[in-house]
Amino acid sequence: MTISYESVAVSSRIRLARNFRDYPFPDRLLQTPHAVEQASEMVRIINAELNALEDFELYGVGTLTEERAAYLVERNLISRDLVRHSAISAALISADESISVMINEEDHIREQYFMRGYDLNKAYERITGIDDVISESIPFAFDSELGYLTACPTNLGTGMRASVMMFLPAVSRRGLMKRVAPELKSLGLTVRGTSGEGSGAEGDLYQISNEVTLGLTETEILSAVDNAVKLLVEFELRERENMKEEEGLSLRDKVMRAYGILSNCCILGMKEFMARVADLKLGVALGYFTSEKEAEEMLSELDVHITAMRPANINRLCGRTLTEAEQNAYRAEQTGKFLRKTSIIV
Amino acid sequence: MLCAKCGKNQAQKYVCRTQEGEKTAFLCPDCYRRLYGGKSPAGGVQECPSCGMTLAEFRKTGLVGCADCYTAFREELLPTVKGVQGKLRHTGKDPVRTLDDEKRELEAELADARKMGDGLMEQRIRYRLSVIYRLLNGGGE
Repeated sequence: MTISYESVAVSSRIRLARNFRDYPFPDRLLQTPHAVEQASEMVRIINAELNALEDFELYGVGTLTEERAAYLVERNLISRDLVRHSAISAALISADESISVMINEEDHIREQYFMRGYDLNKAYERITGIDDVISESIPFAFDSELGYLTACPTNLGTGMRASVMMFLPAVSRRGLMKRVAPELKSLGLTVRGTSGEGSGAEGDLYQISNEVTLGLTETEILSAVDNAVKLLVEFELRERENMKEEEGLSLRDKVMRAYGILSNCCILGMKEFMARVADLKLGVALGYFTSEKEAEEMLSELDVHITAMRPANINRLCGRTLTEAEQNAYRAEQTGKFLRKTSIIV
Repeated sequence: MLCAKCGKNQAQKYVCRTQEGEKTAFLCPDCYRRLYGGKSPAGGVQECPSCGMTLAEFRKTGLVGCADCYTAFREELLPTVKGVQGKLRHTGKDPVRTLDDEKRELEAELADARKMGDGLMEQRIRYRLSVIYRLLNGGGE
């Protein structure tokens, strides 16, 4: 894998949706008198199966507080929707945080493999292995025509969502995303900005994923997403070169200003932080910085730092709930320290 | 509740058109098809026999209540599925534990329930088996 590739395809995720045959789906389960007992039984079975394989930490039914959930959401380990069912929901997370199994989100079971970098096949192999283990002890809701039965018909069939987080500053800033979205749609894929659907995206990050889950094999879905990712990587790299050529010194100035502010500021809100780090990452990818470390490693460290500087992660690091102003000051201080430590040489 | 006609399978509530007008009947889907020639009931299936979800609730939330909703409301749900997914035939992986495995286990449980004289359990297992037979054979036992 070349540095160019990793500078665009940031992370990979595969999610499989599954349900127990004999329990109402979570929204319905919540309306029944024995919801908590039934949910606890589900958690007990899945917990036993997974912990026989490797170490999983259990965030149990009724213990998933909003603060803890926010921390896990920021680390891509659970979804915000899991908190909606907090009376019956739980999560099991592997020690290396690559595998998470959400219980009673929209479906009874959402199995997920998440990794930095781009390798959908590896992600699928890992999560389908986990799925097989769970499937041996649980009668999944399955229909020979419709495949895995899910609460929402948009997830029927394979129940699989393969998604890749992509850093697309050139395509995005040059106004080309509006050309990309319809192309992807015609391939059965979809693109979302990480801060929701709309024109802009936080940190120039976009998530590409399959929309269709029924009537295709898992391999066909992986292949469709893979083809789109490859085309988008080439497109982004081409546009980065065009951007560099057309914007010249003003682009370099923007990147260096971002570096200067991130290194020296005293107050750093989340929105500004994401925008400046996106400028800095673009500069690293364009080769504006020389470094003792490889640029690939630098980009990966920046992504880890981004996660650590999100609000609930800051609270966890500090061991208490900080005010927004305190978080902004902490973020500025830690980002300055981080950049001085990472030996970027301008 | 068991089917008023065959007395074997779990019943669903249907509103049926007859010469005397509309009447409510508690039948299993197979008997309903045999008696009314496969025509859609006037009011459709009223609610899922397993979880009680109605079609109106599905239209409001976009979510079904349980796995059996896909059997109870199949006719009504398939156009939605086709609209969303484009296709109606699963070609991906199957669970490790298959319907055949489940059928074998339930048949053994049914024999136990008969021996124990546990009518309620027998009724529950019969219903699950009727769903499995339909899924496996597309029809009767």
